This record gives sequence, structure tokens and C-alpha cells, in this order.
Amino acid sequence: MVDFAELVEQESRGLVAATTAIVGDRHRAEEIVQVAFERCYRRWSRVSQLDRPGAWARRVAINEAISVARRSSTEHRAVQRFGAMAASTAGAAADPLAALDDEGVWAAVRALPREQAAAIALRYGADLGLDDIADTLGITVPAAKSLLHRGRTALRSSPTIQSYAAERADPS
Amino acid sequence: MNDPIGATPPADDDDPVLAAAGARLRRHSSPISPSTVEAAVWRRRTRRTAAFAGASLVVVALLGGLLVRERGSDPETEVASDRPGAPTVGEVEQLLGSLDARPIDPTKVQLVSTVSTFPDCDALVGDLRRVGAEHVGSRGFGGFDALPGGWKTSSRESFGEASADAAQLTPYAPASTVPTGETLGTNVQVAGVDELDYVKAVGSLVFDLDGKGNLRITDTESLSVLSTLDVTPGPDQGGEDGVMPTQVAELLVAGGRVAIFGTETEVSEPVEGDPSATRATTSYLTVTFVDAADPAAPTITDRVRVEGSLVSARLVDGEIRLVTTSNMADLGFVMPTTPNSVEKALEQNRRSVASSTAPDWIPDWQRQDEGPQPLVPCDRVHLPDTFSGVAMTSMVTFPLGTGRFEPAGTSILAPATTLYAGLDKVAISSEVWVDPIDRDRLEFEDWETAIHEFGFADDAAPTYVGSGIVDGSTIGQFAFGEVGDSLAVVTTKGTPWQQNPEVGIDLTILTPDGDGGLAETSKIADLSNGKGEVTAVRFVEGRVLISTGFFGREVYVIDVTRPAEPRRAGNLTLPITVGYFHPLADQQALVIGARDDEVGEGDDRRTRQWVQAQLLDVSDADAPRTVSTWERPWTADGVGSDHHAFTYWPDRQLAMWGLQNTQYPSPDPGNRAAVLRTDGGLTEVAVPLASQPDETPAPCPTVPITDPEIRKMLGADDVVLRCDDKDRKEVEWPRYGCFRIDPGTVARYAPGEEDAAAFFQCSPAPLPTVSRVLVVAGRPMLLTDQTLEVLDPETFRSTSVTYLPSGGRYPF
Repeated sequence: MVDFAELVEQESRGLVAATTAIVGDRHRAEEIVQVAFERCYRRWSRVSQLDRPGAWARRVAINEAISVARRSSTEHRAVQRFGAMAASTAGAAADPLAALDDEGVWAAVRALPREQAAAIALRYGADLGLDDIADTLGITVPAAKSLLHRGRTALRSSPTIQSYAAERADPS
Repeated sequence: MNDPIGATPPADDDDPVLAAAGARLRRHSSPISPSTVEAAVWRRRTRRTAAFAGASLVVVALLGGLLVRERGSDPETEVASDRPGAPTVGEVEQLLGSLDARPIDPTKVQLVSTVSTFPDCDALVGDLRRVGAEHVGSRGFGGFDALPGGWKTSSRESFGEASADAAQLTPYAPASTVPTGETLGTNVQVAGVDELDYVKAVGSLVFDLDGKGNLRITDTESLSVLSTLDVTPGPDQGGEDGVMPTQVAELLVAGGRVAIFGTETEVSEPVEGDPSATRATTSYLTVTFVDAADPAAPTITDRVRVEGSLVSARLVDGEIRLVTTSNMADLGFVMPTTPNSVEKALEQNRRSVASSTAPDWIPDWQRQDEGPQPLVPCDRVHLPDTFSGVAMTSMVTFPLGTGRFEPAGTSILAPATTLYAGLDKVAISSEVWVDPIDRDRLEFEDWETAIHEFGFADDAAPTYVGSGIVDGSTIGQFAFGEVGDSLAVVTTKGTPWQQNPEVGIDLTILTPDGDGGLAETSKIADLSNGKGEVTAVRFVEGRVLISTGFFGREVYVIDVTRPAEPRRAGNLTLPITVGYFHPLADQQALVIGARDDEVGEGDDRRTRQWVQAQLLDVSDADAPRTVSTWERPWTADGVGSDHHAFTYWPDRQLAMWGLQNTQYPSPDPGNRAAVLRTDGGLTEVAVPLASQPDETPAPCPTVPITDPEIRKMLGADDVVLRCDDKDRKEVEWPRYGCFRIDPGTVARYAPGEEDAAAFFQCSPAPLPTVSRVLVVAGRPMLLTDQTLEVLDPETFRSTSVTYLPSGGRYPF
């Protein structure tokens, strides 16, 4: 049986990163992850019996992160912030995302539909594999794969990024 | 690196930009330390206890010291009362010393969606004492009866209300195949989940409660009563000396077994020499099991009383799911009588909570002649992490087939303000607890409601699934439905006791996140454009119909074909106040409602009521339309407040319900039932009249009344009967309602007769009113307050009628 401390040590850094990607605020993200682990601790007798206790804690944190993001209308702000980032960032790239700095990238992720944003955050923020993403979101592996694919495609087809990159390609 | 836009994006599993950004994000993210988590949990549990380390410890030490000196005993070992599990005096004082001067301000409480469980009773009660003592006020936990939708007295009326409200929110129930010749069950909220009612039809039998404490079994073939069984306890159990007798209100039937639910009230003994002592009462839920395998000779197999009162009960696959709430009546709170006694009362009430034991909090049940047993074990009691009041809501399951009460239960410390019961889940809502007396005074911003979901599986106690938070408050029991695997909740902004006809309504979809939470997966905010006031809600295959507005005439269609993305689709304005939606096949719904108009002139001007039915087509969610309309003047119905009054006969596509004549005097007296065909339109098949029972001779000789004074006291058509049996309490006489004339009156007009006979005054009964339309063994029947009448299945003309009186069963 997995040990609670072990679980926190294994999961917390990646989860804080993924949660930050969703809520856009590191301190808020740490708080959300901490509360998720508190809930996990209080129910440890039950959670520890699960096949993947980590998925339970992740799910609690990601759900809360999505809920917080929605409550604070982060999406709207993210879109605005992202627009500003894109307009002020220098440098051209083959991949329009590469034209952004990290904050711009995550702002663009937050502007995605929330399931896609959660999948991207778990894949790249928490560095999880498809199996773990599927477990966390309570969906099948193909569905997780499809979410990731749609998320990435949406990021690159964003009109804001496109227009910014087009400007870069043709400065005239 | 200068490839043009549109170059092949990175492969699916390899996105260097995102991967690199993710790696940097992780590098800059701080891990959480396990010890921080553990410490935070500990802090939350003991935040109050930890906070008093300073000043209050001094108080504790002083009090402790005093106690030691005065009593010469050790507060750490001396228990506060002689009850098992009582805390030590030291523990009580420590808790009291840790409390703020004032109870917790409810406006400052932030609702959270988490709950906690405890490994044993000591841990549970320790937490309950602390949380309870923080919130208890100088009047205890306030006026229990006024809690928003809190526990209800289990009278027939409140049963009807509860189940009627619940039923409004009915997920689409596919028309079950009921071959002609069979028997239709009660009109229910969820297909397969039978609900409480005072009448049940099974095979060719009708089981009903006669309003006098008897279970009555009637064979509809011979139209004769096979048996009448008293299902209340013997006279020594109640009914004497002002004690309210047991009442039985509703029943469930399956496989020849019957469970009957009622209430029993216990009243305290008068206190000798204390004229100010009140007769305090407490009521219990009673469950009586009857074996009716032989309907002519049913027997009681078990009878128990359960602390608290009934919220609702359902029958699924032979298993009963019972939801009860119980308050803290046994703690013995005091009330201040003058301003000066407020502080004393607060102190006393806090002390009562601080010295409480498990039985004070955990409801128990008791079989006659046996000791009480807890309804749920301590480790299955869930405590919301925000105090939601002191009602313990218990979900209990037991099989009906064994004929004995063998409960498996789970509880949550929250008043069930709203209950939804589906096939495999039960959801209740609870709010931050506010003493009713403070409600007008306090102002709350962003009022929220917690939703707690419980799941049911075969042969096991209900399990806690998770909790979620929704904005606003749930609207009575109209508030819930299921969309896919998720729970849909309709809420209005603000607190439940606010009356604001222009508030917004939200539809929130909550989905269990696997363990411990109900995540808000989608939401439609303000779906009625600020017109609030839901009058009825119904889930119809892929749609939610919501009627709103001051007169309940605006019907909004929510498209929930994709549960993750519900959307507000079309709406339409109906000419009626919607009382009830009934889902039909092909995304149609029958709407039953009422309208009125004015007729006549001058002094003869009167309001004329109409019952109207509309067949709605919501297959195009964006363009809902009325397909057909039916209405009848001078009528009223009870379907809006009691969906059991409505019956749908799927095989024949017939909608049937009772109508009351509201015209007086009427050229066409008598009450009827509506029988409408719903095959693509609405066609009136018949409006059968409820016949009076056949006339019979008076059960006792009539007494000629010659004295003009007595004649004046009686109604014009009243008669007086003289029955030789002087102990006779009642007579039943078709077409009449009779009550006994008290012996004092008899003595005045016929001295000497008062000891010789019983006299009854009999008045002509009002015309029978249809309370239920039943289909038993392929034959439609009208159940009224006085009769059971069999109709021809084709013409709906009366074929036979029998006298079957029911005390107090008036549907309107």
C-alpha cells in the first residue's frame, strides 16, 4: 500500500505545475493542491485502497482548479493577457506557439475549453502519460488523446497567434 | 526556424514548445510537504482548541481548580454525567473555555463541499460537541420547525407535499409496457422507483389506508373488502390523556408484503406541583410490516419506531430506502425568559452540547419490548466541514421481503432541505445554518447551497458519493434531476427564505469526481432572464422543462442532449399557470395547469376556473410548440400539488385525473375525472362522473325530531340515529357523514337516554370527489373519498360502485 507522504512527494510538484497552468497563479495553485491533499489525508483509509490514489488527489485538485478558473473568469482575462503577450513578444518561429514566452503559452492554454486545458496542463505541466491523464479526468485513453490533439490544434489555430505569426512572416 | 506558417505541427506525442514550457513550470513549482498537509488537517480539527491556549487555559485551570477543591475530585477523570460515553468534567470545561463569547456568526461562514467521517463514536462525538457548542445559541438550535424545508411532521398532508414536490422533477421515464389487463402502479418520479401513497393497486387487489388507522384490502373482482387490519398499536400505546394517537399515512407494497409509515407522538407526563411545566412532545416515525400473502387474513410481522420523522421513502426491487431526519430534541435546551437570562441560557445550552453523548446525536430505532439501537454506526456518520444545522439526515435501506426492520444506514449532519431519490442515488441539499429568528436581520452575500449525494447498491448500506456547492438555494424539492450520470440542480439566487419574484435561476450540472467531490461540470446561469420563481420542472428525454414567472406561464426548454454542455433553447408562453409536466414518448410532454376568467355581470360576476391540458412538442428544443389543447370550465384539480393524483396508461396513451366541480349551484352537479387520449393530439375520451354510493337503510333507527329547538340546531336534511349500543363511537352510512352527539346534549333533550343508547347526527355527504384514477386488472377505477367505482375500459361508463369510505381523504 502506498504511503501518504510518498504520494505527496511524488505528485505534488507536477500537480502544482498543472494547477498553475490552469489557474494562472502559483500561490493559488499551491493552495488548491494542498487542500486536495488534505482531503486525501482525511479519507486516507479509503483513498489508499484505490488502484491509483494519485489519480484521486489529482482529480480533486484539477476539478477545483477548473472551478476556480471559471469562477474568476480567468479565461477572459487569459485571452486578453495572451493578446497583449503575443503583440509584445519579439522573435519569429515556425510554430506560432514558440513566438510566445511561457506566460503567454499558459495564458493561451487557459483560453482553451476547460477539458482541453486540463489535459494539456496534466500532460505538459505535470508531465503525465496518457494513462494517468485519462485516469485523472475519468475518461478513456483515446478520449484523452483526442483532447490533447484538439487542444494543441486549437492553440496553433488561434486567430491571435496566427495573426501575430503572420505579421512576423510578413513584416510589411 | 523560419519555416512559413502552416508547416507541419509537432507530432502528437511530442510538442517541444509545450514540453519545454511545462518543464520550466515544474522547475519553478514548489512541491508540497506531507508534514504541511498533516499539520493543516490537524489545525483545522483543533483550531478552536488550539486557539484557547492563552487566556482560556487560565479559565480552565481556574475552573478545574475550583472543581477539584469543591468536589475533591479530578476533572480529568470525573465524568460530566452518568451516561455511557459522557466526557469528563475537565473536557467539558476545556471546551466551554475555548468558545468565543458569542455563537458563530452565520454570515461569516464559508460553505465548503467537504465532509469528514470518524473511525469511532468517541472521535465523532468529540467533533460534534465542539462544532455544536460553537453554534448553539441561547435558545438552543432555534425553532426547528421553521428550518428551511426542515423536518416535517409526518401527517398525510406533508407526505403528499413532499412526494408531490419531489415528483415534479422527473427524469424521462420511458413508457413501461403494461399490457391491458394488468395493473398500473402509482405515477412516480423515476420509473422503477415506487413512491409512498395511501393507496396501491397490485394484481386485482387494492391496498389502502382508511384514514382510521386500518389497512384495507379490497378485491376488485368481487368489489368486496377482504380484510381490515388495525395497523396502529393497541389503545394502551396512545390516544389517552391528551396523547396524540399513532397515525398511519402511507404505504408501500411488494410481493404480498406491506410496509406502512406513520407517526407516533410521545407527550411528557405532567409535573406534579409545577403548573408551569409544559407538556413537551416528541414524535417518532413508525414502520409497520404486514404479511398479506393471504389478503383475507393479513398479519403484522414487525413494528418499530424510529427517532425523527420521515422525509421520504422509496421502493426499488423489493428494497425500501428510507430517509429520515431527527433533531437534537433530547439534549434538553433551555430558553431565556428575560434579557438578563440570555447569557445564562447560552452557557447552559453550551454545557448541554459539550456534555452530550453519541445517543444524543445518532438517531435510534426501537422494536416494541426491546431496547433502542442506533440507526447508523458512528463510522458512517458524515459531518459537513461547514456546520449546516443540527438535523441528522439518515438514509436507511432494508428489504421488504423479510417482514422485519433490518436497517443498514448512513447519515449526514445536515437538514435535508431538498431530497431527490433516483434509482441508484439520493441527493440532499443543505445550507449554512441560520437561526430562523435571525433570518430577517442578517444579510448574506452570495448564498450557497451544499449538495450531498449518496449512492445505493444491492444489499449494502448507502454510500457517500460526494458533495458540491451551488450558487443560491434549491427551490423546494423541485430542484433536482438526472442528466446522464450527473445530477442537475435548479437553484434561485439568494437565501431560501427570501421572496423575490425577479431573482435569477441557474441550472447546474454536478458530476461525481470519483471520490469525495461533485464537480460543477456545466452551468446555465440566469436561465429565465431574471424572472425567477420556478413553478414546475420536469426532465423529458434530452430536455429540461422549467416553468417560471409570476404566474408560471413562461416555459423554458433547456437542451441537455449533451450533458456536458446544456444550453438554453427555446421558450414559449402558455395561457395557463403550469401545475404539472408529464413526459411522453417522442419528446412530447403533457402540461396540466389552470386559468380563470370572469363571467356574469354586476352582483353575479364570478371567477370561473378552468383546468387546461396542453400537449407540448419539444423535439425541436429551439422551437417548442403546443400541439393540442383541452380544457374544461368550472373545474379545479390537485395534480399540481400531488402528482399521484395523475395516472398515465401507456398502452392506451390515456391521461387520467380527477376534476372537482367549482360551480355552485351547478346545472351539472358532481365531480368527474378527465380521460384524454394523447396520440399526437389531445382527444377527450370521457369525463366520467363519480357516482354516489348506493343508498342503504340507516344502520340504526332514526329518531323523529319534533322539538322545534332541536330541529333548528340540525341542518334541514340532517337526521338523528339512535343506536342501542351505548358504547358505539361511530356509524358509517353511505351518502351521510355521521358524528356522535355528546351525552350532555342528549341528557338535555332526552333525559335518561344518555346512558341507554348512542345518538348520532347524520348530514348528507358532499358528492364524492375523485382522488385517484386506478387501473386494476385492465379496468379503470375511480377512487373517491367515499367509493371505489369500476368503469368500462372502452366507454368509461360506470359498471359498479362500492362504498369505501376514507376519513379525511379529500384531494383538494
